[in-house]
Amino acid sequence: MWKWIQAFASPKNFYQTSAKIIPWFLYLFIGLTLIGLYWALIASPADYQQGESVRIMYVHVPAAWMSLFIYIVMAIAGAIGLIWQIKLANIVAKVSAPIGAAFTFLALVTGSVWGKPMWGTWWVWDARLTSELILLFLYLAYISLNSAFDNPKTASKASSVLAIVGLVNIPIIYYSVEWWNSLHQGASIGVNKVSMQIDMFIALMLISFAFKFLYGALVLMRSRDEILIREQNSTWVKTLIMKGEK
Amino acid sequence: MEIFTLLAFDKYASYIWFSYGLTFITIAHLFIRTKSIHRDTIKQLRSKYLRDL
Amino acid sequence: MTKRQNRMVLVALLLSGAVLAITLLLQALGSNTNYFYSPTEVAEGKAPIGKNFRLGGLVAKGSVVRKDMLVSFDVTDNKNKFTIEYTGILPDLFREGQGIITTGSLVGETFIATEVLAKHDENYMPPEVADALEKSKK
Repeated sequence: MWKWIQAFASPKNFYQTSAKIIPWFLYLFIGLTLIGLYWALIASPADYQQGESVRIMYVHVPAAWMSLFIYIVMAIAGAIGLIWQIKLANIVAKVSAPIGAAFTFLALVTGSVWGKPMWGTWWVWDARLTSELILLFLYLAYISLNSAFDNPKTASKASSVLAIVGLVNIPIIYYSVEWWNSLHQGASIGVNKVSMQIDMFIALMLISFAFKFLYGALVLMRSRDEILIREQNSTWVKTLIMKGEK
Repeated sequence: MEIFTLLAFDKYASYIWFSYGLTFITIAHLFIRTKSIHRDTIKQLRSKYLRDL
Repeated sequence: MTKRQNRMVLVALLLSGAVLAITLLLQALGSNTNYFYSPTEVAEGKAPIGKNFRLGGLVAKGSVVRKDMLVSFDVTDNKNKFTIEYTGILPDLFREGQGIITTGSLVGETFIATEVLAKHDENYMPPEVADALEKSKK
């Protein structure tokens, strides 16, 4: 089993296998997005309180989920890289950061645009909004720490430690609306509750799965380039590049 | 056109379309950036190997 | 210990250290992290009277009175209530029975607000369903 994992996680093997997976992830992303947009903009009803503005939820909530999901993946991959020194884990952690930062940015801005007409303000310093903003800063700190070192090994070590320490922010974001009185409302989707009409729920799920596949495709694509750079002295990379790989 | 009146979303149209537009631009940016990283990597490695020959 | 075990211990220590630090921080912050006070908390003297603070609760049914741009209404948590006076534009979600958060200060018994924000809950449904639910309650 261990041998098998190591074989798959070998950079060369990963490089070849991922090439076959990426197009499928992209097809799924595009397909789910198209159906998801139909559900979000046309099939789903307006809300009894928020009217049509509820449609912002279908990009805001999936983006916010991605911001948490990618951070957890990044921290776990970083920890694996730190403990077992698996190159691939370090690479996945590194390339995840800018994608996670982009989704965090999206969650913050779409939330702001939703907050203006509904709450009456673009921004408040309540627990949920503030902790999500800290998440964005954590991503940015991770990215700058990672690029501060010339040696990729040292860079991975330092930034992985940061990612693991920052992991405590994740439950704070998630439970902030329960632990404190906040302007932001509680979660609509829980382990055994969905306080949302079914068409709204379908729209939300379609777009969040679309985002997951997009993240998968982007991580694989960026990891492959990172592998080429880190393995540039090995023969297989040399042959690959000189043969004219695009 | 029924579809256009359907997608007008009364007074929230600008907020909704801004959100979806920004999402589209962000995703497009991530994608283009990924592609350009790939091109740069290949170019950089190729010139390095040619130099070392 | 092998090198790998050493690193595992290091990661575990880092993680627990960070958890401890954050827990202590949160305890120290305590109720200061609460974004608003409920009418009962204000009545019990927990809010900083004389300074600006936030008051949150439900808009009492039948209490909204408009005079030009001046709006006055009661905010209640079903135990205590305060009368709010506010001049300005109200958010779209403002209505009777709605949860709101308002910033301002207590002048005598009246809360003079400089900002009124509407809070919404986590329930989403089309208007028809909401109507049906409302009817079935009666």
